Amino acid sequence: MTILQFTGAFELGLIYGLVALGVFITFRVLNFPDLTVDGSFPLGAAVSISLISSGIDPLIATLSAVVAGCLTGVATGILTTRFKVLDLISGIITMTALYSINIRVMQGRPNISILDQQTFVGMLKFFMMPYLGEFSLVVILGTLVTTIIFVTYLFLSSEFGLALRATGNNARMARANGISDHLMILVGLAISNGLIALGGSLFAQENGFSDVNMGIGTIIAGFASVILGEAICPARRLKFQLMACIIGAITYRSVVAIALNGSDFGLEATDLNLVTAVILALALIYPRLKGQKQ
Amino acid sequence: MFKSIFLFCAVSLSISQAKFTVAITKFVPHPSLDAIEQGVRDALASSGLEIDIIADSAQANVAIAAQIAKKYVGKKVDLIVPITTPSAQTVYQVAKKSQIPVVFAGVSDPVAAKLIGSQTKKGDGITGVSDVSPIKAQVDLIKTLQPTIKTIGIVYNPSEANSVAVLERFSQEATHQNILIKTFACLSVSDLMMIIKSIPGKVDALYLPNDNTVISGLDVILKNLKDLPIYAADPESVARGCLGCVALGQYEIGFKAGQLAISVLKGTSPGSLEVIEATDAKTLINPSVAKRLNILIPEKLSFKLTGE
Amino acid sequence: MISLSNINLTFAPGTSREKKALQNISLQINQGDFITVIGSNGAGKSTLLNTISGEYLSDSGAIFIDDQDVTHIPAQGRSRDVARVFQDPLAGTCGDLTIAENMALAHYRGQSRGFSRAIKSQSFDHYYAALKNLGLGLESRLDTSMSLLSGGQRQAISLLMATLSPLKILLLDEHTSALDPKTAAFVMDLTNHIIQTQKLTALMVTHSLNQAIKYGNRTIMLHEGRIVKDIQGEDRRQLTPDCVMSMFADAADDKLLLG
Repeated sequence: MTILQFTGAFELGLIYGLVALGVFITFRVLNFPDLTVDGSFPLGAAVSISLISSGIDPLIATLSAVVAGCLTGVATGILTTRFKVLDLISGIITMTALYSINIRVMQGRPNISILDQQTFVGMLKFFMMPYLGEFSLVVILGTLVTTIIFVTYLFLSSEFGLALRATGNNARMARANGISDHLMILVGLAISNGLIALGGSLFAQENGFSDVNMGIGTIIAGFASVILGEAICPARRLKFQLMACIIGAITYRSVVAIALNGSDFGLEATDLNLVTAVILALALIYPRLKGQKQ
Repeated sequence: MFKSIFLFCAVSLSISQAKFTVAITKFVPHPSLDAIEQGVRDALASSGLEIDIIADSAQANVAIAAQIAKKYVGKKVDLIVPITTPSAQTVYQVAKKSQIPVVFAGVSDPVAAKLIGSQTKKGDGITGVSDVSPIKAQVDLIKTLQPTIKTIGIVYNPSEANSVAVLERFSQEATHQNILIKTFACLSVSDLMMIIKSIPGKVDALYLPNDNTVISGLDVILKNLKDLPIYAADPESVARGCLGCVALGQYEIGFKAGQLAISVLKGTSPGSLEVIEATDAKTLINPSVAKRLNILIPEKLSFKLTGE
Repeated sequence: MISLSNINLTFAPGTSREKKALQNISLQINQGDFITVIGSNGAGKSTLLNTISGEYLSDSGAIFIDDQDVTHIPAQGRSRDVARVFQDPLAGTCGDLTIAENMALAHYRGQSRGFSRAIKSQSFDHYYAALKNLGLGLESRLDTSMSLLSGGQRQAISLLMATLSPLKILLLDEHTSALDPKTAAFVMDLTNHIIQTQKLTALMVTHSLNQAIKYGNRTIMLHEGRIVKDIQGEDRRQLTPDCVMSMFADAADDKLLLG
């Protein structure tokens, strides 16, 4: 693997780490299988790229993407709390609607390019380039993601955050203690999808375009990152669990990068998915084997 | 400074060795994209240069396309040939900072994708072959075979960039020739059946652009709309039962891109090469379908027949 | 004081599974009452508790907690005044959270929750002291996950949790029946101790006749959704297990309902 591939996997891992964090909050903390992900990720991309290509300031465009993501989470939340739709189906409904909504956000075009325009990430990179060169993006994203993890940790350790965790663990007990589980679900979904939309926005800005098909496979990547992270750093303490999400995402992207080099070993380009699956399976089975031997 | 020293070494090395590494990547394995890739490979093979080829498919996943781009630039290949718009965009975003030339193929609107300037038809470190469908010729064909035609229906997936671009131009051309257009949007193959049911009686003919969703459901369309003249944008579909098409050969597009690549490898700067708009389109008609639909093929129309 | 007037609750009305769980229940619970609730299976004991807590909303009738009409307020809204300990030790605590976190959750029962740290250092000392009184050594394990504790330990902590925040009524739903005899006795003693020292008002459902008589100042018996016996004062002090057994037999014969 070359340095560029490595930094590429690291950067992508940090961006998708946000997705993993969002998936962790819904699937693990809130115990809510939220499939909105495949729709909120490209929504973040669509909102920010559309705004940037219309001349809006990149920072505002990025923040708008986060707000849009939060709203999709609220939509799913309302479906399940107010209208009693099953959690899995609520996410699917929102995700399906988003497919068309995203095209609308992009003014009917399935693909918008901003290769020639300044992005939020681009601005920061330009600033840091003289000092850090090739690693500027890694440092920028690393700082951003670390800050987000810290804030998320503070939130989940607050009275409100504890109530949210209780809702996911034992909703009946939470209600008996005066916690509005409906409110918790709405807030949890909003935060999760806001983070995921941010990931989509950063990804699109980094690659210079937004494509409506960008979301396909996001939930799988997010979920694999969470599981991989838990396998690599099993932890009971919340702050380590949060960090494990990012570590899992970076590892996942590194696995893909390694698998891409499989053509050096005579593998076909189409074997990529198989190789990724095998490496992932090994990564999950190995700790178990190790545990059994002891 | 370090970069220029390195570049100098690389250039001198490449001159002395004359062995090149070319990377080809397509967004997804697909018959027309595979044909383009084959064209590129054959052109490179016939160049007389010693070329190593590495190839990857992004499995329809943008994140993987981005990682593929990083892989190539990290390996410092001599040239990258991305096929399709998302692959071209991800590759160019990384390659433009590293001086690795890019020759794209299978991109229908490189201007909209911000790969090249709209006036100059040239790009910075990038050139290629755009395969805009020969829309005018297609509309002309329909008008020729059905002179009294009033309305043409178009089935497409609004999430495929190529289809949307084709639709816009087709509508413009049709309006120009006083033909009405009716669109049928179809987001996935499973929706196709329902959409097909709403078509009869509303249109005099149907046009199917080179759209992944629509083409994968072609058999269903043909089976359920037997009495409607259906025009396609690629030869395989005509062989399968469409009435006719005016199509660019995908292989030829790839071959042209390969030839552009060779010029670049031999030293021409890609920024000086104008993007080629593939134009040698051929008309293809399926005679048994024409007979079944009672459509007379005019004597003076130059076309090829599909083999039965 | 908590009062229920003419409470009716029917499950699955109009279907073949229809069950009239509570029929015309009227009950005055006085400040300081420790009421044991007995009855055969399906009599409506747990349903009664669930209706008082707000987990079920009655079809008709009224419930007042002091002067406040809470008939239509669901569990979250009544939680400031109502504390519960469930039968299943796992149901009353969050297994994935630590002891301290569980106690912090209960500490804010019924209050709005802000964004300050959930476990403040003063609270931590408070929890430590409360756990120390149990004599189980749990105070040194405040940061262990709840899932590592035994059922008895979890129930003991549930009891503590219920009383961390002021309450108007404590609802105990067969909270020792899932424990082994020794642990059950320990938890029951603890329960009685807490209720007596803090002068709490409590309602306890139990299948154990001994428990029903030994503890509390009042006993009510439910049968087929109705209160068929309400024994307090001197009668209650004189109550023996045999009396209770014959009460059950009478109920089965429907004598009490008719006479």
